[in-house]
Amino acid sequence: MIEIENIKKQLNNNPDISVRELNVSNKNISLVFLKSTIDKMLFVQSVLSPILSHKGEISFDILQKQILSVIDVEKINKNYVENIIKNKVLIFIEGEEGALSIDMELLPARQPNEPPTSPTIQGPREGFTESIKTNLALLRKQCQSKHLVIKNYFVGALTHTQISVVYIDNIADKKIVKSIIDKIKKINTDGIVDSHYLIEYLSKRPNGLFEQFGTNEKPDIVTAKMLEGRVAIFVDGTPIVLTVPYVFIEDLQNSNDYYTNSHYATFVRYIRSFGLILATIVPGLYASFRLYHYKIVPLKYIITINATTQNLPFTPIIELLFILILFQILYEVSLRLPRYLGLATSIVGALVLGDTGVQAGLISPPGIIIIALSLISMYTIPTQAPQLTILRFVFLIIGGTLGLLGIVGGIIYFVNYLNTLNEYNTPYLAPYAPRIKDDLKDALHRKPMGEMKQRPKSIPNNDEIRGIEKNNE
Amino acid sequence: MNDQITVKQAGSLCAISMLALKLVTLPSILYQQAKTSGLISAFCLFLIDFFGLFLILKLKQKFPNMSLYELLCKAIGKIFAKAIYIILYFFLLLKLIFIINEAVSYTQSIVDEEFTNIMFLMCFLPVISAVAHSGLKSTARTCEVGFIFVIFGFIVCLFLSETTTSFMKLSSIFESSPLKILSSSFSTSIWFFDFLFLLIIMDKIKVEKNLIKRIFNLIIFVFIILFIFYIIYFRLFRNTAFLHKNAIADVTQYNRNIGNVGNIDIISILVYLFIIYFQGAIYMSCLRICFEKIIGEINPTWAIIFADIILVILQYFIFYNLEITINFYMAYFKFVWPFLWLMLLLLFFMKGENKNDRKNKSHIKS
Repeated sequence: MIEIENIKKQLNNNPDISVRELNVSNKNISLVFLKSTIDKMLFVQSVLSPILSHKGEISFDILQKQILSVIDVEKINKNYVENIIKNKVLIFIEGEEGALSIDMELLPARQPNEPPTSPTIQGPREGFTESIKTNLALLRKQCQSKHLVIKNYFVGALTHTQISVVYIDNIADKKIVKSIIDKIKKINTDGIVDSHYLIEYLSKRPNGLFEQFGTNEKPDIVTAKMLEGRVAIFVDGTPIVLTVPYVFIEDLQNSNDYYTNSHYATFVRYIRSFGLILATIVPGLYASFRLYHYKIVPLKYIITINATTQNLPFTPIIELLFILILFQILYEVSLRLPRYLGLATSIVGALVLGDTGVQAGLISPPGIIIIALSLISMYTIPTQAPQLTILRFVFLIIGGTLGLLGIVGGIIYFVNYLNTLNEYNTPYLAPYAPRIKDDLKDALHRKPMGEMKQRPKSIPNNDEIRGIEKNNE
Repeated sequence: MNDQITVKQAGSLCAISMLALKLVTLPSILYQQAKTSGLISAFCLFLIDFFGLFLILKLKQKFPNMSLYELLCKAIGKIFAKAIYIILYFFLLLKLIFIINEAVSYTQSIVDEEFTNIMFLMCFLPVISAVAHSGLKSTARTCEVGFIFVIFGFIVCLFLSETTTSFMKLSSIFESSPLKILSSSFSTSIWFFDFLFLLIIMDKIKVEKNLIKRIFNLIIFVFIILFIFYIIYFRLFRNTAFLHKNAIADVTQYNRNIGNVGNIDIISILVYLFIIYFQGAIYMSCLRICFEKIIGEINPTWAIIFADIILVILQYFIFYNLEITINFYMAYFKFVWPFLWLMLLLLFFMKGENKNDRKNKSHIKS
């Protein structure tokens, strides 16, 4: 058939294109598909066997209504190549126009496991996978609502990546949904390989230090966020699901907080915010105290610190920068090396460079303690780790050169910068700036679920009260 | 309007402005002027300030959507309105210089003695300029979130300060004659008049319910804390009060040792530094708005650069230390404030905005 030859040609005669020629009731039937991406067992059982065992006349109509009636079959008259690329089996019958398209996709995929970025102690452990179909199924499992809306788009001139915009119809703000969809439609690129690619297309400030997009790997978290009026964006090929709008306080919250006592959740959130301060400004503060403001430090501490630092060849800022850069190198190395080599780098880093450096008098124990404290604290908010790493360097340089006045100025500058972020009409520092009293029930302080009767006002939504279903029809 | 702020935010701005100039030199100057009766002088000036704030807020209620510039144009014409804006511009600039000088003196004696004027300006100006450049909305939000920490820190400072000695007898605050108290109020008036900036941003405050009550609740709360601070200061230092020119730092240096840590006067230093940055940003935002009204539509960057240049020149060549600044201000400011009151009263007695005006205005805006 000329059509099949054309298809093969358009697909570069790749070796994974399979064409099966059959003769049923004196009619030639051709089945075209990509053998690497279809479910072969299902293909044989549901398509090949019924066709071969059929006696009598054959046509598209008979195939659709009798022989292949148990599976989804679609009649198409164009876009044959696109259908094959989307892992469908095409059936051509000699002398008949068009083809039948059957979805037989089976791509390599892993099982929904507990994601490494958001482990839980008590709570659902299922995490998203790289398959968008699995991810949407997981979401459906969590959110069985007739109001759940899934809108699919295909982005990327070469990758044709499926992007699903998912929201709850009677809760999500229509303007936000429209804005996201408009931006997705405008994307003109070769391909979207991961959801992080999308962030830069959907963001008002793609160059900004702080991203105003939530990244989630668990269906329970995405569902909870959609119930607050947020919109979820799924991208095929990645387990990371984006949620918008996003506020800074979400970084201090964790799914575990909702699966435990509200008092404990509140306590942990305060600890995390304290961790945020330690991670960012402690090295800078230490440098400024040692260099300029030793009068402020209580005498006992000065004596202790001086005892260990008096013979150091470097100034505090150089010493701390040296330790920080060293750590950053070790971190990058440990990310890229195989695990068995990672252990070796840890030994080199901790023992050789750390312990020997102190014994040689090149770095001081308080310097190492300060940097270690700052680095460990950073992982109380792992989602902000890249930003905090940059800020730590900035505050260290400011503290080491301009002292306390510089650090205070730096804090005000960055807080003000965060206050200028207003993606999708949502202030980034809400509910604290602007202060929204009702939203403080689930900010740093978490009240019991029963008291959170309203959806957050900082997230634009169509339905303020939780639990009452409104008829939109 | 895109750059509008909430009543809470306006309240935070007022509260910060109320604190900025009153935590360092004022208590010692009050003592120099009227001994412990300085407390009465301060109280009177606070009352006058509150009355001024009340007038401004009433004005806001009377003309909810009009800016000061529009009001002045309506009352006295465009040219005089611009002239008043020039006066306001220099008033705010001089207040900002005063704050900077106090902060430099404080920094040199408490934080780092090698800190120079230029080093201070290098830290201070870029930050307040950047904050002001980002717009009034984000400045107000930053102050709103910062105010919680500042006031909490200030209360902690009060708790940490020495409170074991017996409470000062009330009679001891009548040490000076009423005339002395009055003259002390006159000379220290530059430390007050903190709410005047609100006039410049009055059109940017959202019209919300209980405007006056909500702002006054916050202001009175801050006033009570501030007055407790003054009482502690006077009680602590008594006859040597005039020597303690860094009030907030000196009060907390006499604190108890908490948990065997030693003096935690870092809290008072942080509280003060945060306050002056916030206040600087508020004034810089107002200077920007004033400049835009005087010159006409202009890129905010240029308005801020102009203010920075003038500020550096005045600070470096004229008001290069705190003593000169205080002497100048105490000598001349008393002639400025009657004029400012006159303007305020004139505006207050203007005929209110009627419904038709409001409708027309909103129509023009839309």
